[in-house]
Amino acid sequence: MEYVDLDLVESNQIDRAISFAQAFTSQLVYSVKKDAKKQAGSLSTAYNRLRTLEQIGLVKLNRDVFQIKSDAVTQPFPIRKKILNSLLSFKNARRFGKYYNESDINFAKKHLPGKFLTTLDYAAWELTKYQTPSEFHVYVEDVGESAEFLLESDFHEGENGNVILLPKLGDFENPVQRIYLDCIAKGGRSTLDGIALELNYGDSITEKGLFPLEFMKKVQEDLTSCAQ
Amino acid sequence: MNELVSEALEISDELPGVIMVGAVAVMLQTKRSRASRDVDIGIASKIDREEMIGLKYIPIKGKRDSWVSPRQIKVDVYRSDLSGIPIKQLEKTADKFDFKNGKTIRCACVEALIVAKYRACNSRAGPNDKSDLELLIKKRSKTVDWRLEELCKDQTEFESIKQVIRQLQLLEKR
Repeated sequence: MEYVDLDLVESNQIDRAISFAQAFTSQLVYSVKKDAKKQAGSLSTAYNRLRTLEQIGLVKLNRDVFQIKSDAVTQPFPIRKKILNSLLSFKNARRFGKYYNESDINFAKKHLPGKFLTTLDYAAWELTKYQTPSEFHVYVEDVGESAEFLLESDFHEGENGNVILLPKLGDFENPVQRIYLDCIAKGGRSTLDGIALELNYGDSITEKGLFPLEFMKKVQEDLTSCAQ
Repeated sequence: MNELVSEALEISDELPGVIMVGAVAVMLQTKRSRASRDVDIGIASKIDREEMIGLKYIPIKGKRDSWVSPRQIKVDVYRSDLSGIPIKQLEKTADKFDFKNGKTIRCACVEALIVAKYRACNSRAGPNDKSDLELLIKKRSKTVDWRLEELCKDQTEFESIKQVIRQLQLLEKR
């Protein structure tokens, strides 16, 4: 399978699109005509910006409605640059399920061929014991091959499975750093896992993200109350 | 069984009348597991602090109403309201989930969870609020009933929530 080559998307095009996206951080969903047009100056520029963002996994867009990964677009520049590969991997992820419970995950952990690095929920849980995990995200050497194996093992591909195959894109030299960046890129509750990783493995993380103070405080308090 | 759901079963046994309002409620209502580290409960009955201490729940110092359960799971208690929805009203509209072992969990109805998460998104927006609201709408928006209007504070809020539901449904159809 071929993925978007980030070098082919002009970096100033991405920068302009991200600056535009930073205006949309408060709501859950936005309207292109009502909200984005004003910000971009014209409807066609708004759609151009949104399509660039969609290409790199920062936006969901359908007709007039769009949604932005605000946790990711508000990160400092070096982090934004580094999470592009995570975002692209997530965009090209394939999801599988058989019984749609933990037994699917146990099976994948034991038998899935080409496993390279577990990330997000289960990886964060292994490292921090902070949030109970729910989905098994795993980078694999060859998504097609691993997917074939799951299908042959009576798994189904769709939107509801808990086993998620991710293409190996970008830098994996420092696994903790990569898991941390993945947590930032995923956003939502994974942000809390990212913070827990930073609090526990700060020395292994060279590029640090920017998080709301109340989230930092919450994780710190939770980890302290857990230790008491 | 998910660790937090089995904890919710134990809590429901120990503290009669509790309503699950956080991760457990979202999981049960959407049938999707979700990462979390605590159980959030609403208590409308008169289970006071002393009674909870008697049941071996340990209060967490410096927190308003947070506890560690006898099985070492953090439990946050809501006694008056959840994002402005009175606990009494949550109790009135709650759904019941029966389990094979004869035990039951009561949890906030989908409509209450949607209203609570929508309000949270518009104010303090915790890290889970947006993704929970999306999940609830994705999995349950077709079954939302009259309770939604009843739980909203006014017609404007009701219309705004309906609009968000429509927009998220459109994004799901991509």
